[in-house]
Amino acid sequence: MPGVSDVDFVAVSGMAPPGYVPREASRYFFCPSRDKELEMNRDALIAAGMDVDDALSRVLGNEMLFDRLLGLYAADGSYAGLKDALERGDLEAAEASAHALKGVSANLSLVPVRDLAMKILADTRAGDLDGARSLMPALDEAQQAALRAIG
Amino acid sequence: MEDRRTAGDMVASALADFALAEPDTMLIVDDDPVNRLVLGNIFSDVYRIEEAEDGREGLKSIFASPGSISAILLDYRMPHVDGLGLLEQVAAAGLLAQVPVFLISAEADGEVMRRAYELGVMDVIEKPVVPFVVRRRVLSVVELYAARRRLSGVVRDQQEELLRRAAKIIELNRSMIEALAAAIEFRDGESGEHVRRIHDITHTMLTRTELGRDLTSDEIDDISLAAIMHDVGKIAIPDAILSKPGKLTDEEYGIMKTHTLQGERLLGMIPAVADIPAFTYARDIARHHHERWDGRGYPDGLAGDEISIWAQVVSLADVYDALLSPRCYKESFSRERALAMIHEGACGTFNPALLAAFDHVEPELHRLYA
Repeated sequence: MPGVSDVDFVAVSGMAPPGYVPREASRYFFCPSRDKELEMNRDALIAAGMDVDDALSRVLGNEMLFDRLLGLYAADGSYAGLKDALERGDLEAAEASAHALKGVSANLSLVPVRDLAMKILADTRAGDLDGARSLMPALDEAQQAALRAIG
Repeated sequence: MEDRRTAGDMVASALADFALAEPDTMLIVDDDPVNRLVLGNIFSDVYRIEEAEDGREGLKSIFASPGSISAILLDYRMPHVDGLGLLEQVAAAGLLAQVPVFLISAEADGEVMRRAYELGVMDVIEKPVVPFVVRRRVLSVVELYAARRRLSGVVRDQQEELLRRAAKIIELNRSMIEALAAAIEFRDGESGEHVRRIHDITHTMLTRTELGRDLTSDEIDDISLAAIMHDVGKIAIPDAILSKPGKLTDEEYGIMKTHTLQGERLLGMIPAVADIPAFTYARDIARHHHERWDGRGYPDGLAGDEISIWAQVVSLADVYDALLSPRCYKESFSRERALAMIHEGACGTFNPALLAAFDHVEPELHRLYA
């Protein structure tokens, strides 16, 4: 299309034309792993406890980058790592996973998960395995809600 | 970490590159890809973004091309080499003066922060980041570093320019003094080369023998320059006496001897140079270069060590040059005859230590007459 660069087209429409090869600079504007139209389930995310406006401001309103971060959250292994560590009773591994989970959820302003992760983190640092374990059901529910909303 | 010997060399050469090109890359070191993306997004309009997933990879990127990095955003908790570990190595390589490092950390741990500041981070920024905060804090520091680089470049250039000009002025002064002295000597048939030889003989005697042991090299340079002006007083002596081919009468000789006093007077008449060391030496030399070790010289009849060492050196240089050069009242003598006359006291007595030093360097001096 004359007068419109590849990057502009992609950024505006969210679609990749066939044969499009993303340039290095466009990594913040185009996610090559997604080939469907960009869709943000804003209401569902809010219902799952995410402060969507806060999260969007952190990425300077870049909805495409935000979408990509949602995908990365869904693929993140900290939650599974935390669950596994608490089951095994490994407080040290649980502390590391809780800290990581706190970080990734905070970046997306996913408040329920973040707050629970912080509490579990405090418990693991205090050596309170039972306290940490007791919070897991609530964390599980919050995490599943988030994953469903991300879709 | 790889071979650190070469890292230092690479850093040194890259730091030289700082003078040439402005760094354009921001390095983000964090094991969480989401953090890297969020931070990169905040600065992608200003910098080329480079990422590293832990301290080890971060160090590789830094030492590969330190001159290209504008700023480093650093997480604390990372596998292999953590944020403080990276900071320690970067500080040890002396890079922190050129590259600002910012710790982006979820840890509110006071000890970590204290250690980080101790090592030299410019700022500790909390996670999860607020974009306009981290942007302002990082960009203002980077601008500060850039301004410092520009300023030191400007200062360096100005320094070089000043040194160039100072050297030029010194050179001009020397040339003018040489020209003045040569012009005055010209009247009694001397050439500019006599002036230069007196300078060289004086300089050699003072630098290559014990005679100059109490003098700095700057003082010796000043004395050698002053030596050039020892006979400026001759400008006050009438031509008839100055260029007389035969022996002078007592009266004529009496007038001739006043060239010492006239020289000192003339050199004291220029207020602008009154406190320049070379001219202070010059007044002494002009007045006393005809004094003699046994006190039978003129105008003051000083004896022995009453005569300053520089006046003694110049008087010997003057005699040596006069003997070896043709003059209106004599031909040039051979080297052997000149040396014999000097040692036998035919041209006045000299300080034995002075003569010993003279003998030591005379072969070198004689090369001036080749």
